[in-house]
Amino acid sequence: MPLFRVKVNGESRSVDAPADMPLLWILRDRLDLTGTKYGCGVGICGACTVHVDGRAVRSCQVTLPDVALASITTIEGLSSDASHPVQRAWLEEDVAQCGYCQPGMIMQAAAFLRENPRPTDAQIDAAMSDSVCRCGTYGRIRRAVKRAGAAGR
Amino acid sequence: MSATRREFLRATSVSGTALLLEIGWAGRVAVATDAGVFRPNAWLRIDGDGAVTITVGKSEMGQGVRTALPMLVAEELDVDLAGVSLLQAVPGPSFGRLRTGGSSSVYGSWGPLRKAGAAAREMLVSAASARWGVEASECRSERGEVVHSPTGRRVAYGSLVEAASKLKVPTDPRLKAPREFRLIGRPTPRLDAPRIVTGHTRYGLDTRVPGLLYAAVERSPVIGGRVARWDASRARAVPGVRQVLEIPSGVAVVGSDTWTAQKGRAALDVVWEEGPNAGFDSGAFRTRLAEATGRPGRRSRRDGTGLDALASAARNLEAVYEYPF
Repeated sequence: MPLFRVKVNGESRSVDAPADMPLLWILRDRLDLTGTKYGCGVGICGACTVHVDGRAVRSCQVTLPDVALASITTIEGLSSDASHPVQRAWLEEDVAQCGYCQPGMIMQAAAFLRENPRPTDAQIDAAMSDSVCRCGTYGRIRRAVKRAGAAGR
Repeated sequence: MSATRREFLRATSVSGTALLLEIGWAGRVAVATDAGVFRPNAWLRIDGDGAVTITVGKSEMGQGVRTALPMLVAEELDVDLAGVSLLQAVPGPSFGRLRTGGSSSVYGSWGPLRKAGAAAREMLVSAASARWGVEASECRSERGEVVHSPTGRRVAYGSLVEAASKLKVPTDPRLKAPREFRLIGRPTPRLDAPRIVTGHTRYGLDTRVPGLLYAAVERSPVIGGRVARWDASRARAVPGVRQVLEIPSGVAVVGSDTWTAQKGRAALDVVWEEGPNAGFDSGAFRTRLAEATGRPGRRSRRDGTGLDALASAARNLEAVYEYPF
């Protein structure tokens, strides 16, 4: 199997994996970064969202050759102590129920707020609507995204 | 709790360093011993450093049991909620039923966990009063300590656990009246939220054991179908696939990682015998249900005066909700 080098959460890691293995499984099964979740595997649920050079990307839809020179951030790297404004807002709004989709939600929200720190409700809904929460925490997600945007200003 | 139910509370010292209570879901709570009086559903443990741990088999699935159940214990034991940790019980001979469902976790634990907390609290108060040579009635509990009210002397729960574990467990400890609650009934942030937002919560899919292999299962496209025949030669040719086997729910491909197992599954050739539902048609089924709603029904019960109220209401709203199965 080919050997790849990837930069994850600021660290350069060496990975032995087939070239077609999605980044999701590199993170989870090779690097033991299980905070990134598997939901659908076909890029429609958002549970596997990570940052590639700061942009929100579905990690089940990219492979290592796609991200070879990029800097990847997972939920574990957003902050390890929940100090990122989005994580803080998530705690303050007590968003999570089962929590399974929330790492992807948080990564999606963090990337979105970097581009649009003062979103309207409609913009939040549009940005978050491709991330799916079975518990139905959408109302709190919207409040938390708003709160994080306000805190980041 | 029903007075007709037998209830036990059982405690033991764990190498003399902790107070350990066994709790039965049917209202039984008892002192743990090596012999084991019954298979408990939960444990309450207070260690020498004052750490409080409850071990329960209730699964967290978003309903909040990992916060609500510690609240029940912290309330009666008189400790800070932050000082109570919850350990997930795993199936095995040490535990009785570990079912989670039917919205029963909180109401089923309401009696037993509160009773366990209250019993432990009374045992700790008794141990402190014996140490001081004073009446237990002069002592009270306060946030993880026992206080001798007349003199203001205090002792932490942790330093009382060894003595407390040698006491008889009260069969009918006093539970707080609702007006005394300081946790129950108040909005409480979830205790597991910090781990969730940092990605550290471990779900079933995140379990890692030494030598772990991963499986992907190809299942019948029709409910009730079964495997007629299968050919795994292409699946076995995927590098990293270790084994392919037929199981009751389909054909499983076992590999060195998830992606390998999924690739192997995609390379399977399976012929299905689709069974009695092979011709099932969702559209026809929906039509049949819709037609059935137009036929006269049978009244199974009648509660209240809703129909009269609708008949005289100024405005009626109608909506149709459909659920496929």
